[in-house]
Parts: sequence; structure tokens; C-alpha cells
Amino acid sequence: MKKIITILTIVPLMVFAGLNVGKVTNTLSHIKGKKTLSFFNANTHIPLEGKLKLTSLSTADIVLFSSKKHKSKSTIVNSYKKLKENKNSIGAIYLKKGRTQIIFVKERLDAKGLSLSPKFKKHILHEWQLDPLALVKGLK
Amino acid sequence: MNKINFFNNNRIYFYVIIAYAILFYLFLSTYKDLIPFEDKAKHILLNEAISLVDDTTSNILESMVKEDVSFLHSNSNDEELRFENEKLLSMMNSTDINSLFVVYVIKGKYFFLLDTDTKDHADLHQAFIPENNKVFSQVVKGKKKKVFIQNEVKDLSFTLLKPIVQNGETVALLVIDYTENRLTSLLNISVKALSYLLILFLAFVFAFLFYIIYTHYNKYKIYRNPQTNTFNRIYMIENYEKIDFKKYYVALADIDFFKRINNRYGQKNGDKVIIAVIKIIARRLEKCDKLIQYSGEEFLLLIAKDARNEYELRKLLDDIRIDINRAIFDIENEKVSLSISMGVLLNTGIEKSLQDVIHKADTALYESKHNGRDKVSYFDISQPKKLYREKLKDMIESDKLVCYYQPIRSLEDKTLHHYEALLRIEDGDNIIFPDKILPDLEDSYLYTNLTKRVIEYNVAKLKEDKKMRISINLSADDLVNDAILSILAQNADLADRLLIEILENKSIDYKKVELSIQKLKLFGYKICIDDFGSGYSNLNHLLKLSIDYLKIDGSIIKEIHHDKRAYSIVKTFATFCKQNDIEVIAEFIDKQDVVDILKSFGVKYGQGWYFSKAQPYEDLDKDHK
Repeated sequence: MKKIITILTIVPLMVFAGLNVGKVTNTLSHIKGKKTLSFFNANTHIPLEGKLKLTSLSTADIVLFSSKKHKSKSTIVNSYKKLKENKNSIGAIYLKKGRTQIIFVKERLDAKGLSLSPKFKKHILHEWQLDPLALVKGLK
Repeated sequence: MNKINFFNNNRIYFYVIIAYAILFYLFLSTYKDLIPFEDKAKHILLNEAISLVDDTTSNILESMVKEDVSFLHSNSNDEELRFENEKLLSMMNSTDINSLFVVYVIKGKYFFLLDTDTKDHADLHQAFIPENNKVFSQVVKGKKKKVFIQNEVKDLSFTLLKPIVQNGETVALLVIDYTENRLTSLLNISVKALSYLLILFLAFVFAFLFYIIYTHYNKYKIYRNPQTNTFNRIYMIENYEKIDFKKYYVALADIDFFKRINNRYGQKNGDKVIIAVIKIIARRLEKCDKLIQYSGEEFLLLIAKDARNEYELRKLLDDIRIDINRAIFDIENEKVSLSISMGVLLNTGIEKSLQDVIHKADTALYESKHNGRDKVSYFDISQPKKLYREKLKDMIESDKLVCYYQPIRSLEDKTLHHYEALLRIEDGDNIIFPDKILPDLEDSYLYTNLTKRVIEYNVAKLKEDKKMRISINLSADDLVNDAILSILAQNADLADRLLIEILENKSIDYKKVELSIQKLKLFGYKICIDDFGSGYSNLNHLLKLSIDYLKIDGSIIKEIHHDKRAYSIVKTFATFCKQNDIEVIAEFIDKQDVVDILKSFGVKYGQGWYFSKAQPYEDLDKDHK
């Protein structure tokens, strides 16, 4: 049991070790909705504060880094794989090659009535860009 | 004002400050360019560092990319090929390389194609958001490799981007991330260290500059009279060796009868007069000349030989003399005229020291004073008379100065009361008496030096011989001289055996003298008026002084037994003194008849050949009876 707890504690830490929290917070704070968005951070090891309005899970508009599925809420997951699999997630934040990867799916944002400032356009992918087959078709 | 003068007179500091400002500006410019410089330097070094990897990867990529087969299609569709290619690329991995992967680009977005990383392996077609999109785009468009410093990604030092070009188009990018290595660490440290060192160096230069200016300014303040900006004696003493006197004609100037100004109008007004005189002199001088306030009213003029010939010098000094002579000094609503005497040495080139030069100028100055003042005299080595004064100076400053002692005895029982110390100068076998030298020294700083020497000589005698009591002669000018008063104050423990005899002169300021007498009496000194009746003294002035003894002048005493007027005068003085508790001393007593008359007047003490001549200390009765 202890091992499981240790693994459960260390793994998220390892996954997010080196994550550029400032960059994450700044990007999330630029997601616009009909009202001021509130966030629930399921991973307490990532200290998202300051610009973001953090609330409880029940009142949050967007749930961050949760391993569970929240059908009624927009979620931001912690891996590219989860982003592809979980159509309810609007984006993913994770580390790859030492770099903080922040990805949002345009169609999913639109469906939730959310948008992101144009200056973050490099972080926005289209749904088809998550699909390998579609990508292969686009290859020269 | 002093500071402005300082910088005006020391232009070198202007230049130093300007130089420092330029240096500071250069530093700021350099500092501004330091970051680009650092990047450039890093790029050069990084290109050097990646050269080996660059060459090898070029070869690998060449083998991987085939002209007729789409690189992207073949790799995304053929897992085996992808595996082979990843294997090929992974040969490049080393401890310096953190990750090595290939991404392709579609509509400005990047996706993984190949990844050599086993731990943090990216999936095929997984999106990749580069931290520096701009550089990635540049490589795609430019088709040229690029190395950039990794500022955003922790643990990475730099990244090499190599375009994979097929059919003239960039189809993918090979990304090689380098870990933080010694090269970049060293580069970071060295550039930062360089800037810190530069700051430190500039701070040190500034502190050093400030120290030099501050020190020089302090010296300047010490060396200069703040009101006239002329050099003072301290400057000369401290720069004796540095002043190249051979480049100058040297003149010593002295305001005639200046003591009278001081005595009559006070020192404050005296100082104002000195400032006015300095300004008159300075007006005529060039920048290359030097004006030094040698002592209170004595000035040393160093006139640059480069600026004037002898004829022009003579004219200049005469002009100065005439300027001062014509000037009217307004002192307390009184119009006062002054004159100045000068002594000049033209041929300074043959002299060994500045002291010798001043000595000779002073000898010439003496000549001016001796010949009626308000004159400029030039030192002429052929005249032995002028050298006499020089010799006199040497004698005063050497051990040739001695005192002879004449006893002052009770007229009643002839017991010794004290000795009067009488100045003598032993010049070989000759003994020089004070009346031969004092007129020559009048109004000169040598006179004060002489008095100091006499006091010191007798203080030493009193310390040596505890039974001895001595009286010394001081002029009224000596009594108002702070240096003399200070010596007497320092030796107040001898006050009960050291009596002060005051010599009269015509410029005596009774108020000041009385003030000094009061000070001396507080120390315990007894005061005696010497040679009373010889000159300008009168009973009215006498009443103003708190004296203990009055010595009647010998010229009256020696006439007492055959001149009725002398007889009456002495009798009147004696009566007056008796009524005012002043003891009377008679001098020049040469016979018993005189003693008898004096005793009848109530005169208590006497001196003269009748009792004893003045003798050297060695010949005195050591019991002092």
C-alpha cells in the first residue's frame, strides 16, 4: 500500500517536474468564456495561483489534471494521449523533451464557448491534427 | 568658492573627470552590448562545439533521405524504416546530448516523426510545441541549420536545428538538444565575471580618483589662504624640495611697519590689509608666477624667468611697490597708507637650495629696510655688509647665542635678589652686544626667533640650577606674540624664578600688553618695566599696567648725584612706586654715593658695576648669594 501511495505521489511529481508554472498560469488565464472562468486544480503539486480563479470541483468551470472523467465540465488533461482519447478535454498540459507543452483543441474550445487569445495560436491545434491518418494524408 | 578655485587652478582634475565620464559612457555602451556580445561569442563557440555532430548528422541524414521516396511518408508508414532511422540517429547520442528527434511541419504546427529517446519517447505524429517558434520557422524557411541558446528550457544549454531538405524543400527538422555543459557554464561565468570586474574596476577607479582629488583638495585648503588663494608657509615647507627655484627670480617682500597696523587697529583689520596687499601684488603677476604668504606680512614672490627678463622684473617689482604706496587702505573709517620693502635675488641658478635663495633675498630685504624702506633692493654678493645679516641669522640659529648674568642686589644688605640675563653672541673671540644686532633685526621674524632662543636658553639654565632666579628682557611686541606667550605658559612651573622685564618701544599698545601681563601673572610670573624714563613712557600709562617691579633707566641713575633734575625724577618715581606697591630697581650703579641716595628714596634693589659686571654662567658664585 505504501509503495502505491509513494508511486502515486512521485509519479505526478516526476511528470510535472520542470513544468513552467508561470507559462501555464498565464496561458490558462487567457481562456475566455461567457463569464469569468473558475478552475479546479486536481494536482496540488502544481501551484497554480495568482491570475487564476481557483475554486472547488463542484463550482469550477474547468478541471485541471484530474485522472477522472468529468462529463459536465471542461477538462485539461496531463498527457497528449489523454487529450486524444478524452473528447471532453479541451486541452493538455505536460512535459515533453524538457519543454512545457500546452495544447488546446480549437473545435473543443468552440463547443464549450471558450476561446484563447490569438497570441497563443501556436498552442491551438485542430481536431484533425490529433488524428495520425489525417496527418499522413497531409504529408508531402 | 574654494572648490571652484581649486578646480580652476587644477585643470588636470577637469580632464580626469571628463576622462572618467568617457570611461563610464564606454562602459555603459559596452554593458548595453554585452548580451549580444555574449550571444555572438556563444554562437561561435557553439558552432565549434557542434561541428563534429553536425558533420556526422549531415552524413546520416544524407543516407536517410532519398530523392525518389517521400521521407515523411516512408517514415510514417514504415515502422521498420522508422526504427532503423531512429537507431541510426541514436548513434549520435552522447552525454552532452539530452534528446535527438525529428519533427515535421504541417500548417505551422510541428509533429514528431522520429525520436531516439527511449525514456521520454514521443509517439509518431504527436504534436510538438516548440518553445521558440520563430527560430524553428526560420530554419524551415531558410533551410539552414541554426544553433540557439536555450533560455526557456531548464537543463538545456543549446539546441541545434538542422533542416531535412528533400527536393529543395524543408520537410522536417532534426532537433538536437544539448545538456548544460561546461562550455556554456564557463561562457556564462566569464562574461558575467567580465562585466562584474568592469564594474568593480570602475568603482575602484572612481574611489581612487575621489581619494586623490579629496586629498589634493584638503592639501590645497591647507596650502592656501582661502580669502586670497595664495600659497602659505605650510605649502613652502612641504614643497621645499619640489619647488624648482632656479626657474624663478625670488623676491621677499615685507609690509613696512605692519605691526603698528596690528597694534593700532587689531589683528582682524591687519588681516584685511594683508588681503588687500596680496590682491594688489597678485594683479601684477602671471599664472606661472607664485605668490607665497611667507609669514604674516612677509611674502615670497617667485617670478618665472620664462615670462620676464631682468629689466621687466625690475619694472614689475617697482610697479608693485608703487601700487602699494599709492593705495589707500580704509580701516575703520581711517585712510591709511602703506609701503612695502622688497629684497630680490636674481641669480637663483647658482644657489644650492631654496633656503639659500630666501636667505639672500632676505639680506637684500634688510638692505631695503635699512635704507629707509619703501624700496626694492637686489642682492649683491660683492657687498660684505649684506652678508653680515646672513651671518647674524646663522649665529642666532647656532649655539653662539649665550646669556651673561648681572646680579640685582638688595641695596640694604647687598644680598642677591636675581640675575638679569643679558644677551651676547660669541663670534670667535669677539663678543657681540645686543645693541649692535637688535636694531638690525627690528621688525623681522628673526627678532622673534631670537627671543624664543633666549627664553629657551634661560629655561634650560633654571631647570639645571634650581637655586637661580633670572629676569629676561622681552619687547612689548614679544609680549603680544602668541608663540612667545605659549612658551612661557608651557614653562609656568618656573614662573616663581623667571621674571619678565618689558622693554619699552614707541609703538607699545598698552591695552594688549596689559592683557598679556594679566595672563602671565595668572601663571605666576612677576613683571618688571625695564629702562623706565628712557623713552616714551609716562606715569599715566604706567598706572594701566599691573607690574611688580620698575627699573629706572641707567641714563638717569648715573646722573643722580650731580644733576638735580635726575635726582627729582628718581625721587618722584620712587615715591610713586612706593604708594602703588611697586618695587624699584636702579641700574648703572657705579659707586656707594649713588647707593646711598637711592636708599634714601626707598629704592630697594640695584645693579651695576658697583656690584658686579655681567658674567658668563660658569663664572657665577654657584651659591648665588
